[in-house]
Order: sequence, then structure tokens, then C-alpha cells
Amino acid sequence: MAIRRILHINNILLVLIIASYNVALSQNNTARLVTIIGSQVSFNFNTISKHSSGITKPNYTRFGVELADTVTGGSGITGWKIEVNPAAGFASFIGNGANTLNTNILEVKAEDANANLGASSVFNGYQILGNGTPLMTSTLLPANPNSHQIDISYRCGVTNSVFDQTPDFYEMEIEFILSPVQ
Amino acid sequence: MKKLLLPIFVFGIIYSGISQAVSDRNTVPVAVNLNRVLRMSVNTGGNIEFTFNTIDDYKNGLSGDAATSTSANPATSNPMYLTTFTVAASTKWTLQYGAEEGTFIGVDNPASTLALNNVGFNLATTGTHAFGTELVSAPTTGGTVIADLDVYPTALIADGTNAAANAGDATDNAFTMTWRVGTAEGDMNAIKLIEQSVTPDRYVTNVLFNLVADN
Repeated sequence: MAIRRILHINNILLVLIIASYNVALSQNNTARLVTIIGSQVSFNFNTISKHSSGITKPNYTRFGVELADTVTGGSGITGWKIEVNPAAGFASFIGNGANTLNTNILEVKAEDANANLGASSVFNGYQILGNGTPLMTSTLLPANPNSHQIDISYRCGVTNSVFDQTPDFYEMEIEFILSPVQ
Repeated sequence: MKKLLLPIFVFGIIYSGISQAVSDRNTVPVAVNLNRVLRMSVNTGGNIEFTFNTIDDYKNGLSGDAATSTSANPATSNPMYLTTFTVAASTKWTLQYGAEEGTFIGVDNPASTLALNNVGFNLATTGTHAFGTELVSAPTTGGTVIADLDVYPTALIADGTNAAANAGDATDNAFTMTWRVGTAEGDMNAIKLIEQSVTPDRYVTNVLFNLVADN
């Protein structure tokens, strides 16, 4: 009886050891998205002109990006992309009480901040928040967040107006996601 | 051997879970502060005065739109009788208007009065917003009827309660009021001034405008 119990414990230990070994081996890449400036953004609509034309904040946030293939081509990673979406729990901008604003008033654009991503990258211009289109894709793996950087521009109320929305202070969180393309 | 199956199965799940490609994400808080903006600008015609000095004036009245009335006014595009104004609003709005008193009051003799409905106006939109869609005007039935001057407060222009709201800037909400007196048009007093034997005087009243946000 005691021998069987020892064998059973040994089996569990064997699996844990193999799993731990696998953790080290199965991480095919590293990814790092670093906020350098512009960690929060606000739009203050206080004139009819702003309500009419919207507010644009060019190059407001800068991200450093780093993505490496840790198995030197064996992972199947061919590039990377940056997407933006409302954070979990935010279906809309949230104001006081029941006041909400549609997320489609916000548009986001990515640009190459220091021209190190070159022709290997495609920047898709302003995208309405949550429309599913990546802000950019690239086949050049960024090695260093100090030299590979992305500028993010925002505009609010340009394509979809904020006219006739209930005056209030609205907030939401958006997520920028750096992920490999395989 | 059976006891080995469960750990191997668990291992398989762990393996499949951790062999995904690695991503990273950052969160940025975004705030939108919507302040209410509401503004009415009277651009021309802030003071309207009609002067009767011929029998034809009493018989036919005076109008800023002689082309479509029986007015004795010879100038068909006389800007003296036009009021132009614009509304800029970030939300739906209602424009109230009306005379400050129930009648015109004589300057020389306050006991002398003139009924408000002797004065009327046509209301037209010159902006991109139109009656029947973004806008509604009950007194003028959407700009199709010559309205008589009402006592304040009367809703002159409001939201059309359609999908397109009347919120907008001055190019959206631009209006012209074409004033007239004694022409007996539309909702105005049907009796011409010459039939009313009004005591000669200078009759005045203030017409008030009040822009109100709907929400």
C-alpha cells in the first residue's frame, strides 16, 4: 500500500517537473508595450466649434514596443500588430447615473514615432474604437522600446458628432494590445 | 497505469494553455467632458418700427414681404422689417418668444392700446436645419403660415423630435422673421387697421426671446 502511494506521488512530481520544463520552452516570444508619455487623455467640449468639428489630439500617447521570437524562427511569428479596444467592462463611456456615450465617438490612429519601423509596417489611419481593424501591423520585429516607438493620435466627435449628447463628464478605459502575428 | 492517465491529461491541458503566443497590453483612461453650450444671436432687425402716413398704409398695412401680401409697402425686400438670428446649441433646444405685454401700449397715452395680432411675421430657415425634420414651429405651422404676435412665453421653434436633432451651430440654425402689420394675413387680425379706428399714437412693446435647453 505504501509503495503504491509513493509511486502515485512520484507520478505527480514527474508531471509537474515536465510541465515546469515546458513553461520554459513553450514561450515562443516576448512582448512588451511601454507607455512613455500620454497615459491618460481627456476631451473638453466647451464651445460650439468643438461640438461641431470635434477635438483632435495628435501624437498624444507614445508607446515603446519590443517583440522578440525566442525560438529564432521556430515559433511561426511573422510580425506583430497593435489593436485598441474598450477595456473589459466598458460597453460605452460612462457618465453620471444612466448617462452614456457611444464608444464610436472616439477614433485612434498609430504612426511611426521615430521612423525605425520602415516600409515593413502598415499604418491604417484613424480607426473607430472597437471596429476590429488593427491600428498597425509590421513584419519588422521591434528589438528595443527606446528606438521602436509608436505615436498614438486621438480624435473625438469628428466622424460621429457629440451634438445632442447629454452634458456630463464621461469616462472609460481603452486597451492597447501588442500581439504577435503568426 | 490508470493513475498515469489523469496526470498526463492535466499535463496536456497545461501544455496547450501556456504555449500560446505572448501579448502585452496597456490601459489608457479616456475622459470626455461635455459642457452645455447655448447661444442665440440676433444679427439684424433688433428694433422694428412701422410708420403709417398714408391711407394706403392703413388700408393695406406694411410688410417686409410686399411680394406675397397686400401691403402698401413699395419695397419688396425692405430690410427694415426683417429680423435675422441664429441659434448655436450643443443639445436639443426650444426658442420661446412673445410680447412683454398683452397689447401694444401707446407712448403718448398709455391708455391707448393696439391688439398684438395686428402684427404678424413669416418665419423661414436659412440654415441647413429644416422645418419638418430637425425643427418644428407650431405658431407658423412649420413656416407655412403667417403667425400673429403672441404673448410671452410661446414656443416659437423647437426640436422636430426626429432622429436628427436641432442641436447644431449657427450655420445649422439660422432664421429670418419677416414682420408685417395690418395686412390681415394668416393668423393675424382679419380687420384692417383703417376699419379699427385706432387712436393715433406710437405703440410699442418688447418682443422677448428666450433660448432653453431641452435636456
